[in-house]
Amino acid sequence: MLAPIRVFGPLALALAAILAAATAQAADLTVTVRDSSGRPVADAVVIVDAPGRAPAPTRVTINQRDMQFVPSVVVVPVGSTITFGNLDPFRHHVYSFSPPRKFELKLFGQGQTRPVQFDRPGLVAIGCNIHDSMQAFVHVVDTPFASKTDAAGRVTIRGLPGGSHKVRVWHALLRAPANQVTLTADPSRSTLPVTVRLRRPAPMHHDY
Amino acid sequence: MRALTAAMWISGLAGWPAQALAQSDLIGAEAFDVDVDLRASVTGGEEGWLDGGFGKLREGGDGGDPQVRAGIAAADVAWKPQLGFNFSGLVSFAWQPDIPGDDVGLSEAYLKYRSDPAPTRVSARAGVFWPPVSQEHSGSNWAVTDSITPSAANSWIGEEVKVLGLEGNVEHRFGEHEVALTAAVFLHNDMSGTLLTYRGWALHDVRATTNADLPLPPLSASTAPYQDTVTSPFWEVDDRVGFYARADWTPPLPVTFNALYYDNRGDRESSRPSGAAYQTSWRTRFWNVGAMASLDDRTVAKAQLMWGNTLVGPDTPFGIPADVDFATAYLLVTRQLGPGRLSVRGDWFETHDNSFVATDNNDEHGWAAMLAYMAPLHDYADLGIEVLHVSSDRPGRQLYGGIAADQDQTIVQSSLRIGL
Repeated sequence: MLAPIRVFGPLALALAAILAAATAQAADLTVTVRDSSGRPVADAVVIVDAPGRAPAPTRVTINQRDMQFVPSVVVVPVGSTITFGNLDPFRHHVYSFSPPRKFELKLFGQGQTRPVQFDRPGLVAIGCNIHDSMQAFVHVVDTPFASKTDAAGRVTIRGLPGGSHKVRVWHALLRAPANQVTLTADPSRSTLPVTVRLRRPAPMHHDY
Repeated sequence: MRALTAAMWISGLAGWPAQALAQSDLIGAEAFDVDVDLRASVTGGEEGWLDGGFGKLREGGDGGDPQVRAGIAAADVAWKPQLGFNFSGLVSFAWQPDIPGDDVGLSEAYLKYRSDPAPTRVSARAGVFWPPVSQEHSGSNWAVTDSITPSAANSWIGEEVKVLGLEGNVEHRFGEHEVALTAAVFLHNDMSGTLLTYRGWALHDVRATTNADLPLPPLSASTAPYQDTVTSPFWEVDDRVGFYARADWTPPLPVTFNALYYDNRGDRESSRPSGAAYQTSWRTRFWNVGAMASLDDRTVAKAQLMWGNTLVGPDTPFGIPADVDFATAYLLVTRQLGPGRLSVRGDWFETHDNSFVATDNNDEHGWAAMLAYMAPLHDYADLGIEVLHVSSDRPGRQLYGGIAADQDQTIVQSSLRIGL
């Protein structure tokens, strides 16, 4: 009666070790970003520096509505295409001078769309040459471990390999060099609470 | 000097049609704005200044009996070509039917250059425009953004401080600080100070066009032989170049500050026949200090303080015929409320006459309080509702107009702004 235990015991242990390793290689990390008043921070981009293959390119739409880019922050894999659509009853002139992707979409009106492909990783700041108050940010990434926080300030990065990783948190109004802070995730924990200091922007200058 | 005037006009206007026509989309429908402001109002108190009285608002009552009015307050057409990434332009015309005489005129016409986005960015514009003073106006039709009626300070800018100028600007970012410097030379603002002296401060959204003649209230017997009953704010009489300079600073806080100094360098002895009398160039200088702050995610506060002096006429042993110090300030708080914005504003204003007060008294002091709600109705329409009360004491009313020096006036009005 003891023989089966002797035979399957080591096997069971090996299976358990494999499962544990597999679990470690597929850990999820939930990052919650709050400001210094404890309020959730939406549209914070979280990038975990871990080895991983870039996901396939996608197609995303950023609309111009009520003189705002909607959404104003997106995270896309390298090679993705973003379509800019104008829903406002007046023209916009969308541009970027950011090194990863410089482009200019000359005046286009309501109901019109313009696609732009993003082939290099990095942060691309986008503006409207007619309306200075309009801003959008495209994070072009070559990692599967990047996303942005939701309205609750929360984002879950799935399938992380085991070990300790650097976690970069970026927000357009974050008071830090390059609007970004870097932390180290504790591999024994599946959550990472982050508190950031945000700027409250001054009212925009008027056009005269 | 004529050469400089011509250069301003040519660089600001004549330079662009050739370029503009080279790009067909510059004359498409979307390069034009058409705005119509439908107004309904009930106004009490004294006769309005546009009707020749001393009234402090765009409209007046009938000697104390409230007047109900409805109609078009203004219609604007603007062409706003974009010439590549760095050049843009604006040509706008306004029809304001309650302006006596020429009620249609050129509002602004300029060519603007702005360099590509960078830590240091330069821009320049040339043509006809309002100097960058108002924190309450915006857009191709220079519309009031937070209310129907702007503050006393910016009402005056709208009616008497329009220039034909060359303006340069440089913006630079020092870490988290943004600094901008602006400087300009200009002509065609010789009459600035006339309304402020003889009528005093007012609160209204009438905008001077290049050909507007704005009425003055009854003048003193000593002034009437020398001053026409109207003023033409855009006239150039002395061919002297004026200037203004402005600095902006935005620290890493939710607030931005600005300061401007303006001097039209007018030759106060140069005059031109006008009507049965003359219009004479005024020497007008003023400072304007402004601030805007985000108090929270939905609330913005704005404030301006303006002070200066205006002079006209030769030196005499008893002083200069008109020598008036002026000052005004306002605080505006606007908060997002429901679909629109609720704004409350308080104004204070005064003028102090330094000469010949016994025969030509232009002293004044007063205050105003406003409550307004502006909400979008549709992509193409906005509705505004406003209550504005103004109280002022001006001895000239009694001395030259035969009404009480102390007057209160209230307007309740709605504005339906339709944009096409």
